[in-house]
Amino acid sequence: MNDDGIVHGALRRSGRRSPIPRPSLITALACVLALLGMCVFLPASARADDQPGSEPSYQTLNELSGKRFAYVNGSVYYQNVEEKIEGTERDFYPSLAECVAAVEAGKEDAAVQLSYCCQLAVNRRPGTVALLPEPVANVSEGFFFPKGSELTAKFNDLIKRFGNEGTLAKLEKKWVVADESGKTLPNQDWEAPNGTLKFATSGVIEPFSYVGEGGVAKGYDVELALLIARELGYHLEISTIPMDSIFAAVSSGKADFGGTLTQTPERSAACDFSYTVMPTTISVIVESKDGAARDESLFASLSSSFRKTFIEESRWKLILSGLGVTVLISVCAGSFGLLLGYVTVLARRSGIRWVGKLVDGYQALMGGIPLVVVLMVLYYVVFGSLNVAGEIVAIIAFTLAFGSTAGSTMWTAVDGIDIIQEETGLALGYTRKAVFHKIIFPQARQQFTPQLMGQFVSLVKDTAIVGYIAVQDLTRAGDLIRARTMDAFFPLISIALVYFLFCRLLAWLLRKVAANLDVTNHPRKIEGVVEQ
Amino acid sequence: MSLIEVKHLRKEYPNITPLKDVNATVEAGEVISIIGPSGTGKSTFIRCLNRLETPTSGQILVDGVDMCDPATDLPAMRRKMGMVFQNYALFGHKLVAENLMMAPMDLLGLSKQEAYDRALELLDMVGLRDKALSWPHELSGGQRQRVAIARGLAMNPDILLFDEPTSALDPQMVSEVLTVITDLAERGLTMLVVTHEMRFARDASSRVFYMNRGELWEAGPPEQIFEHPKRQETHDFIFRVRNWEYDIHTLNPDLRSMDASIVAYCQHQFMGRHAANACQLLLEEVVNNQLLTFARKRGVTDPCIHVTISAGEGGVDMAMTLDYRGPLLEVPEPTETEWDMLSLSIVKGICSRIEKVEPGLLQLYIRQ
Repeated sequence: MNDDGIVHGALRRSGRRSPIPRPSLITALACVLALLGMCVFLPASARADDQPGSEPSYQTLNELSGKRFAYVNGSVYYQNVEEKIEGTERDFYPSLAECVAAVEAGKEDAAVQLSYCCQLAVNRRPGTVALLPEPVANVSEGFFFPKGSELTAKFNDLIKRFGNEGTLAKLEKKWVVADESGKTLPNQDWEAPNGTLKFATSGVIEPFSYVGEGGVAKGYDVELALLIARELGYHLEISTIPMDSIFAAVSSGKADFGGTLTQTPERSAACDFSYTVMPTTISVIVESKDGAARDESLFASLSSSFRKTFIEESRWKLILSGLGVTVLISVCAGSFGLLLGYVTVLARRSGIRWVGKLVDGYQALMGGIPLVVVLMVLYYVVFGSLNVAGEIVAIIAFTLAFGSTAGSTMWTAVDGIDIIQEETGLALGYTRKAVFHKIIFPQARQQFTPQLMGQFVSLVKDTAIVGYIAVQDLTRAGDLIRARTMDAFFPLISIALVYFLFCRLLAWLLRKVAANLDVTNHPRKIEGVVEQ
Repeated sequence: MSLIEVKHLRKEYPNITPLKDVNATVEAGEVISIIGPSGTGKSTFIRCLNRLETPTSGQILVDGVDMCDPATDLPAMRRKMGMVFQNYALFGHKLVAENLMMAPMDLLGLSKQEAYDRALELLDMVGLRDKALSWPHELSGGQRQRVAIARGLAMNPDILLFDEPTSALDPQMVSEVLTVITDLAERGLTMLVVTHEMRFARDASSRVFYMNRGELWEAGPPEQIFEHPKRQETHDFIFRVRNWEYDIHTLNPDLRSMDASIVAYCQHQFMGRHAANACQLLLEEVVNNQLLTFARKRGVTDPCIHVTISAGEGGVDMAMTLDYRGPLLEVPEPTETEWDMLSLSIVKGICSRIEKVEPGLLQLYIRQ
């Protein structure tokens, strides 16, 4: 017996386990729970001795000169602010919830948003932040359309008419009140002889555009869009798109119109704007004078956060459907990517020079461009003018990405199989193709399977960026919930926990599959023969 | 008609031409050993026969079929010609028995049971029936090579090609593989064996091909090649492989690599471990402890010592010759007190006779 063989085998086997590490699940869970506790407990305990009160710590705009301001991604309000207040710095966040959280944490001095939104946010975070009494500026928000769209004029007519009839005022009154119960949308039960319009809205600017029960977009903008569509004889297909890509969605024609956003000269150059739908103001949120007053106990604040994140408006459904989308994209992209990777291996093995170069180019391209950019280029440029669902584009993008990594992983293993194996197969009388399928690939598979499994788990986590193209996955569900609850931490940690548990489960499952695929784990038996 | 006919075979690579012009015939049932210095095209020649290499020009007829004709069904021809490689190349994802069953089932249409029965029979023949359900990585090198031979036989070939079947093996495993090949030779299978094992070439083959510089230099029965070679180059080769030579040009020679190479040499010559140990000790005591110590003391940087180990057949009359008729001659002879007495007594214990042929030329005859 050769000791070498045994040692080598053992090494190989232990090496095979490494790509999917197996830390104690309990330890990891404990860490996550500790984090969860901290995010609720820390802000609460730090301010436990503070007195209640929601006096803003600044009274006038001038006091804010030289301070740090938080804006929502894609927002242009910094122009208004910087006209009025000198020497301010700007930072951008995904939604007002993060802006407010940054102010609470002391990272920012002020957050800027439409006054109605600010008021809601301040109501949701009682005692920690307050509204500066003096608004910054008047702004005009309008729907916007791809350049030259016929819809602009039709919308303008109706906005004018609704203004005169008092419909706009009625809508304003309906949506800005604190009571959520009356805020319902009309059903789209009218005739739509002109077809369907695609409406892109941010979904994170309550009360204008936000996500309510069952993940449905609602708000002032949404209802107004519906009323106009009814008058014009259209149905609406509403999608929520992150602030920073909503403009791209409309100017590239992915949506027929979007809204509402503040009109600026740059934006007017790229899109046509409608008349102002509601003259309004922007305001500044600052930390409240006496800091936060959290008289709730740790348990109470935890349970309130839990209720707001999961129970209210059945938001758990949003998380569940987000998880479903994440799983769908991962599984589809995983399977197609595996197939694509296999094709690249076959292409390289073909020995045709230009085919090999093509694969090189593809893998270099995917390796050199951030996936989020690939995703957005595919959605807004490549499929820009086609009516393709975001989920499909996401599956394509992740298939391309996984196909590239899986392909090079497979090729590394195939290439690493000793050339003698191939020659042995040929010498036995196999054709080159049969040698690959019978001898080379099965041995390479023994090596690359565990690595591919690890890469697949990474893929699942990478899908968190699909929110950029209006796909409501798990991460985006968290964003939408945070925008509603104005609680930046609890939903984030909850989403982290869901990802974590899901990935652990997946890794465990894949490990089982990998162990099953590993022939050296199979019983030493040859099926279907008898010894004579 | 001969089983294999090779005419004017030539193989060129961009920088090197391993085969210049090879002509040979092999009759059915012959066992051919192909010997010759390294890098003279022996492996290329045998790999051309089953077309793992494509010849640049020339003709290869196997069983009357032109192997270089594009219309030839190469896989079908290769099924008639098994090949055993230096590195055994067992299929790591298959059990040992499955290694033997795969090709007959896929290519000859044997049923699983037939293939299995045959596999066990062949494993029995190479003495590895017990290992039928082992994984290849659990076997030693010698065992793997025997499985590889059995795998080649499982296709029931007319011809079996061996490309240095024992070169990758530890010395103690060489003989178990050679025994199996020798057994096959007695069964009437046509075999071509590229080998460095001179004893095998002499005892087991019906004819020996001596290849040198891309040509078939001399072919003939082993008695001719080993006893009365017709050409000078053949003679030199046969003679030279019986000597071990080493030039020392530094005060700190790589004794480990010398030791390893002596072990390999002794193995080749079928001399025991004892002979290798004796040579290693002599190197250590005489060369390192005496000659190089003097060189250091006298300030010589390049001692120019030429070491030769020679032996007759089977290790008889083994001797080490130390030729230091260079810079060391010009330095004063060591005085009696400078000799290391312990070293001297060890050397006397190893050698049956120490002869100073002339100043700077020492012959040490090693005890049997």
